[in-house]
Amino acid sequence: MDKARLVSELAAIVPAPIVTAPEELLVYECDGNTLDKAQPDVVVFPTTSEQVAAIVRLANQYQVPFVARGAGTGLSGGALALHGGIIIEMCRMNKIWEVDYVNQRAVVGPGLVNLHLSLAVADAGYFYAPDPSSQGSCTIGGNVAENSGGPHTLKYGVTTNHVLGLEVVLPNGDLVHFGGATLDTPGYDLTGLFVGSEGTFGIATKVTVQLLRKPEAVKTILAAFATVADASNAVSGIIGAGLIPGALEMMDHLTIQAVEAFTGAGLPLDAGAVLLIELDGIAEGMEEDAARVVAICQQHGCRQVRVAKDEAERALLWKGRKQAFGAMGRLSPNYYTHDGVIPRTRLPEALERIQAIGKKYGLRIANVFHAGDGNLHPLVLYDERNPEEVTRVMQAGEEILRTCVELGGALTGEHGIGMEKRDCMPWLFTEDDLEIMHRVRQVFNPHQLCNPGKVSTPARQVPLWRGDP
Amino acid sequence: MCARDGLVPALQAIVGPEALLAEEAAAPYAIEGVAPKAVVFPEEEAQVAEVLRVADAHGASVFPRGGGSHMDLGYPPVQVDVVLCLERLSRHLAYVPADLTTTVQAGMRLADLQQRLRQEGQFLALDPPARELTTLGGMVAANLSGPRRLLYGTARDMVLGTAVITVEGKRAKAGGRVVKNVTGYDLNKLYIGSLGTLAVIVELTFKLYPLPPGEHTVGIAVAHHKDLLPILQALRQTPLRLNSLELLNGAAIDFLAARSGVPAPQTPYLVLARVEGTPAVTRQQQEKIATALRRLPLHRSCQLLTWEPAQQGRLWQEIEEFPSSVYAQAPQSAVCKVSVLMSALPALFATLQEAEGHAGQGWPALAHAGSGIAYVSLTAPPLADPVAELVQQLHAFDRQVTALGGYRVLLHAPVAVKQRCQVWGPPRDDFPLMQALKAAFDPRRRLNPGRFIGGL
Ligand SMILES: Cc1cc2nc3c(=O)[nH]c(=O)nc-3n(C[C@H](O)[C@H](O)[C@H](O)COP(=O)(O)OP(=O)(O)OC[C@H]3O[C@@H](n4cnc5c(N)ncnc54)[C@H](O)[C@@H]3O)c2cc1C
Repeated sequence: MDKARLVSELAAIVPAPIVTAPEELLVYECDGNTLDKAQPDVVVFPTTSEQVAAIVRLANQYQVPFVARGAGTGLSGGALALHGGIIIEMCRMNKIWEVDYVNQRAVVGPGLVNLHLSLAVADAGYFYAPDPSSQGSCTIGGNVAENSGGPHTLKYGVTTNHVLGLEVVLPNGDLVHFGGATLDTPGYDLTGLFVGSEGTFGIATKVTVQLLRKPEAVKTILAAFATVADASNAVSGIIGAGLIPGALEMMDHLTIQAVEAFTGAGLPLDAGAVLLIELDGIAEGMEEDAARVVAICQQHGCRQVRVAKDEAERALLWKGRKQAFGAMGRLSPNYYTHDGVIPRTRLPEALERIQAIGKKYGLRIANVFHAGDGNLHPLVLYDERNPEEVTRVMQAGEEILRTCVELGGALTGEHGIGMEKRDCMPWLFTEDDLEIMHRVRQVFNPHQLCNPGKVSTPARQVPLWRGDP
Repeated sequence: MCARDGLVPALQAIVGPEALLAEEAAAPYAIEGVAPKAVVFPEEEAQVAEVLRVADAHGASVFPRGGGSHMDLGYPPVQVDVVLCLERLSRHLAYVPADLTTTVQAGMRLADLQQRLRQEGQFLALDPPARELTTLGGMVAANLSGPRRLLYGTARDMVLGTAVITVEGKRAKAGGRVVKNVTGYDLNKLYIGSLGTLAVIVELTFKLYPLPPGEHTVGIAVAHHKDLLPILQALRQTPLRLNSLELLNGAAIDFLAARSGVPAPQTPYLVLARVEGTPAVTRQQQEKIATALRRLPLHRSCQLLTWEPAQQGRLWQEIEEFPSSVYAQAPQSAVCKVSVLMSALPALFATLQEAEGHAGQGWPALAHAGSGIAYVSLTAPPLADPVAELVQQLHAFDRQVTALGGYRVLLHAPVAVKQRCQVWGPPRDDFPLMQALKAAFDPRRRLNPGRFIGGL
């Protein structure tokens, strides 16, 4: 099978452009995790479900691997064409097909940018709850594939809790429908099974989601602590008191430095850690709950509390949190993001051990994470021009993940396994656990052409596809 | 000689004679009138695995059983070889209140778990029928839910981890014990609602919630069906901490009033809104509801009602039980679960009103309105041939549900009725995948064979 023929047959299916020039393909050789790289042979931009199905059928005909890609903000190497072949870039399928406010539903194309959905329904008083920090660029399809979370998932849940139905092109090219706008569709919950399958069960071409009513009242509190341990104990205290804030985020000392330099929001530069706590819901009882939160923080040594006076101040505080990853650029040329999860009561211990790991490997580690969920994001700072340092970064990362597993947690809370943590799966799962996962994958993706090499080592290794030039 | 010969002794060798029932003693465990050859009560996971392996080797069908409250769900079985009772697998394995998570063995009863959690001011936010009897494994396998699903969701929103035993005796887990986790495929979702057709659930980890500081129920008596949607919509749009939003028709109101002893109004429709919060907060929400309703241009004015706290409690208990209790009182009936959009509920209830005219008696209907889930009890008129009549009514009802863009599952009905209609409705374009999943887990069709959608 030669590449020119593949490209010309693709051209009969999808509108231009079709990307094949090596320098243009560079953009597609990695996602948000820049340590792993692999180049596709060709990138196409379909505009309809039928085109996606036709591409997939063609790929099957010639046994060419294919990978869907949204915005490429993934952090586990999910959208890499590890075995070469076709990248199916979904960004043009970004239409909002239907919004039904009475029933609080929307049907959207998978290429729609997450934030664009919330913006489209904001005036009517609604929002789409899952809010990854990358929501200004990541796509709903990518969110579905990764089962993405975000700061507000403590209260509202992650993507899977908000996706009700899917139109999917299966790895054999069949177009099928899972779930729908109504709940409890009879039969196996294939919608739930598909969400979080990291692009290995097929390509979502339409997504039915639920919309929520915007909360009547919001209170955003910034609480500063001398140490990470104090802040962690405050987190346990808040949850333990039966309060479930909309968001409960932590930034440690190093993160505060980076974020403050970036936003000038007035974060206390001398604090060991800050908590960004957002209560939302009905106005009734909000003041009382806020007072309880503040009291609990103070019991755990909180030195300073700031309550956002207005929407502008709230936005400023959130800007720092949501762009914390980007702000790391001020501290270091590169950073490696981990995503381990632990039971929230183990936070103080986990953070202490992460600091020790940083020391051991001579690396700076900044922590900015979803504390209420126990979802850590240690950012290991490094310079990619220093290969020896990169090795230490990988070693430290492995040790961090092993710590999470030891503490009763998991490898990833929201970024996915991808290719990045594929080889760590046996730390958590037995051979039998993994064999069952393979079985399910085999049902959807029997020839392993759809995003090969991700999540777990496939039963059948797909050879690297390189069309004759 | 049949492959199943020797099955009972082989099972007995695994669980011991005191944990096995056969012949007459097995009769009370009949499923839809079909008595099992053997009933086993394993105490350890390893015994479950061994039972499954032995059953497989003998070509025997296996029917997992929790509390036994929903064993009639699905198509009636043709032959029942082994009933696998999980009730002795009932240990509470882990509970760290400050983590708001807990891990249980599948045979633990929901009521026992709730009692333990209550001591810490927490609960599992699921309120299915048969709350005293149901085990957590059975509840998850049947994907049971109740009115609180409006705020808290269903099992798919709360199950964090699952361990199952497959038909070849492998133990496989998915998910974990943390509240947020995307490590590996989310097979939890596959097992929830799979009715024991893929593997036997032995362990579950749940996300928990703090008990609300209080609850309060507002009743709204509605006279005109055209007023229903504006009222439901107003309640969903008003900022409230609304955990349940129910819609009842006249027959359901009478039925629940009689069972609960709570006085109810004579009205064609009753909407119930239950809000959460401290007494002060629920009082303010009650006022918000009154204000929102006053503003609505309605065809007929609606009437607001409240009850004493104890009465509210009894009323909700009966609401939770409705899908089961309404069948228990009328065995010649067909209890359907219907899923539609909330906006289609008034039309659904209106068609029931018309159907009542034909059948000459009321069809009780109760909907978790905010979720678009309705339970409807179709009954045959007296003196008619009940089976033929119910089958005919179901066909007519199905056409209406389909026209409303919804789905219908037949929860409870006489065996003869179930044999003559599609219990789970017609399979859709995702059915070939479901068949392939069944084949991947249970290729020889040992587990609950023939009972699920499309006869899986
Ligand atoms: C600065 C930054 C902050 C972030 N913050 C968060 C956060 O708070 N929470 C969080 O969960 N994640 C976060 N992420 C990670 C990332 O944004 C999410 O994983 C996101 O869902 C990826 O979306 P995408 O459109 O970029 O997908 P891509 O990276 O393009 O693809 C991700 C995976 O989805 C698959 N895929 C894409 N489209 C489809 C489709 N239509 N059908 C099937 N599979 C498809 C791909 O094959 C790939 O496996 C962050 C990333 C960055 C860079």
